[in-house]
Amino acid sequence: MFAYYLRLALLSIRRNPVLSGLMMAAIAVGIGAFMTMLSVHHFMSGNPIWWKNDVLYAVGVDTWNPNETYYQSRPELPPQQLTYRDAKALQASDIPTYKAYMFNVVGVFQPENEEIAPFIERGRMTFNDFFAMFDVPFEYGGAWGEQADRRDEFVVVLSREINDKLFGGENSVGKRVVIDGREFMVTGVLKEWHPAPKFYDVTTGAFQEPEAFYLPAQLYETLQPDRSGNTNCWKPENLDSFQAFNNSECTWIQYWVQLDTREQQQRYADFLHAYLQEQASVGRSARPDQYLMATPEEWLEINEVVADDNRVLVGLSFLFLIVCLLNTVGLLLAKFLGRAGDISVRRALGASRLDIFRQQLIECGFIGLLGGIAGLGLAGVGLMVVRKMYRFEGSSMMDGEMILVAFITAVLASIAAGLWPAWQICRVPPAGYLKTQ
Amino acid sequence: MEIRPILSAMLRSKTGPVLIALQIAITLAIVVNSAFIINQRLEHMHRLTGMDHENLVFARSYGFGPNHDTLATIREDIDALLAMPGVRNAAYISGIPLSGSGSNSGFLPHPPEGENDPDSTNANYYNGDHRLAEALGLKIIEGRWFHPEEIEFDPTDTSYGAMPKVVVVTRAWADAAFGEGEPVVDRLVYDSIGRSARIIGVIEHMQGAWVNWDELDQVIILGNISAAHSVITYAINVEPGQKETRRSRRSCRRSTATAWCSACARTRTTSPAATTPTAR
Repeated sequence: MFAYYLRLALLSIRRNPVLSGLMMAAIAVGIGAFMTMLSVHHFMSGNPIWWKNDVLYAVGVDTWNPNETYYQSRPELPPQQLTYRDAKALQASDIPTYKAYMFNVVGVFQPENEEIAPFIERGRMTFNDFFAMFDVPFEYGGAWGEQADRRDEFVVVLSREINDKLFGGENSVGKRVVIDGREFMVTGVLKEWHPAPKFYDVTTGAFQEPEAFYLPAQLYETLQPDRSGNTNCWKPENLDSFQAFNNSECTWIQYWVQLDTREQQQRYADFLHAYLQEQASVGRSARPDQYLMATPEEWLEINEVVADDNRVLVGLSFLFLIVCLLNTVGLLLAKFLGRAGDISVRRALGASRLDIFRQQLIECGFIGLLGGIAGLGLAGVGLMVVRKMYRFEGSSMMDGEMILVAFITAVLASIAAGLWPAWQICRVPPAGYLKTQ
Repeated sequence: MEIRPILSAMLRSKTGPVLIALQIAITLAIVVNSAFIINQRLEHMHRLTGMDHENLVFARSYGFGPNHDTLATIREDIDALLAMPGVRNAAYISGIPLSGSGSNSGFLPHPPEGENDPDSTNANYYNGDHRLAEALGLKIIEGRWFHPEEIEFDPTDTSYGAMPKVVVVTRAWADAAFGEGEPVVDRLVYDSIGRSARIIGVIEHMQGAWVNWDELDQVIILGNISAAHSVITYAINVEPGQKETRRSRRSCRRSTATAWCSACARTRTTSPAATTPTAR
């Protein structure tokens, strides 16, 4: 029966190409706009490390200004980042399975190939654990050895993009690169990796591309690199040297741990609490109860990665979809009522009201499906524009889930639009129409 | 015109009019909301920047290697920029205004008392040289801009926002720190650890780093060259119509001392010693 109704729907579309085309266009435009906005929202509110959401924690400890909390609106939260002293102290704990502090630096690459001019790139200084903790995929080689986290070794992990640029995409493990005038040995090259949002560091834009290279944080004091990123200070203190800055109360470091069991999580919470108590007892500004262990999902929420604007746009585009559907309702009414005679014959031949109703709805669903396909095309164009405008690079925004949502929305919406017209047409008394024929 | 027949027709078949009324109502809701959002953006875009932003291009230079000489690099780069056709002026500045990355700190009209002096008044601060006012197109309404010999450089002082001898402030900052309309030329401004500098001039208006910050127009220009960063920024004022052609030329020159990229704004350096209110 379903196949028969589909055939009828096709026939009816062919008989009324203009009206049917208009309906599809209305649904396509509505779905196109709505799916564009919904996909952007979906992309922004994604959790790129969802499979580890219950074991990864962003760590915060509150050694901020005693007279004023870091967030005025959420006083219970510690600062977004850590001081160098705190990061080093936390790194000494052996409770977590993996632990790593991390921060942004900039460095100049001087390629051996004289044809390529030196270029500036952003890098990240961190620990060997970073790669295992975040399941960072490697194309060649791997992370540096653990010993490089304890004593200076000039080793580097390159992103795929930078390896393409420097080595034409070849396996460069064991080769040397010159960064800021110093030689580093490549231990690994990443596969393409674009976590979006860039959950582990949202301080300079949650949708920034990952860094081009990674160095052991152990080298920080030796290299004294140019830091890039966000630094917040509250205490009036002299910062006139590298040492003074490192000992200061300025916060600029991100900290993540992996805690696999409940017991580990509990012990780590106790550890943070004890650490803050100890800091307070030696006269430092510290709030012992203000420590934070946030899962990636909570962390993205705390940092308001999804802009309010974006939610408003999803709402507005949904309203627009409704306007398009109201249009479709009008068009369907015109189309169905024009077919009153046809329907009357069917009724006279024994089709029940329910049959007619069902047939009309299947036709609507079919039109919705076609409109949905066209709408997806429009959404694709819309997303291209959004990506150009906001410079979201790398990952695609429209995934399988969104495509499915688009189809379901299109079909459901057009069936919903068809309910009232289909009901109207069922109620047409057949006798009158049959007589006039 | 007869309204009655129209009304009675509408009453007889209600579906059509109701559909249209609903459509119009929702469309109106969308249009009003969109107009509001667009209007908000336009307001931000149409605010006076106080700068000649129509003709401004920024370029960055990043010094590296053991023999890098910041002062010599700046001199050479600015000479090279000034020699380019279509360039009217070029100057050193420590960051790019309105770029979303910059430095901000509290400054006071008197030496600070304690760690939380309530008189501390936020300012976006930039280091700048003697050409900067002209390059940015700033209007000086009181006092004067820096003389070349006043611009200090101490390569050993890597502090962020090291206090120079002289500074220039915007009227908005002067109003907030000293009081509405107070004359401030030749008065002293203090940083949070009590180092002072003399105010030699007042800028009518200028915007700092963060577009959505309500203290955006509180700016202080420090009369020195910072040794805290390897990145040097140049504000380049070009002849009208030249901006787009300049920007598209992403040429990088290779030399032993500097990598020099025009419009290489990819690195996002937010300087320390700064409380960035955008994060709150």
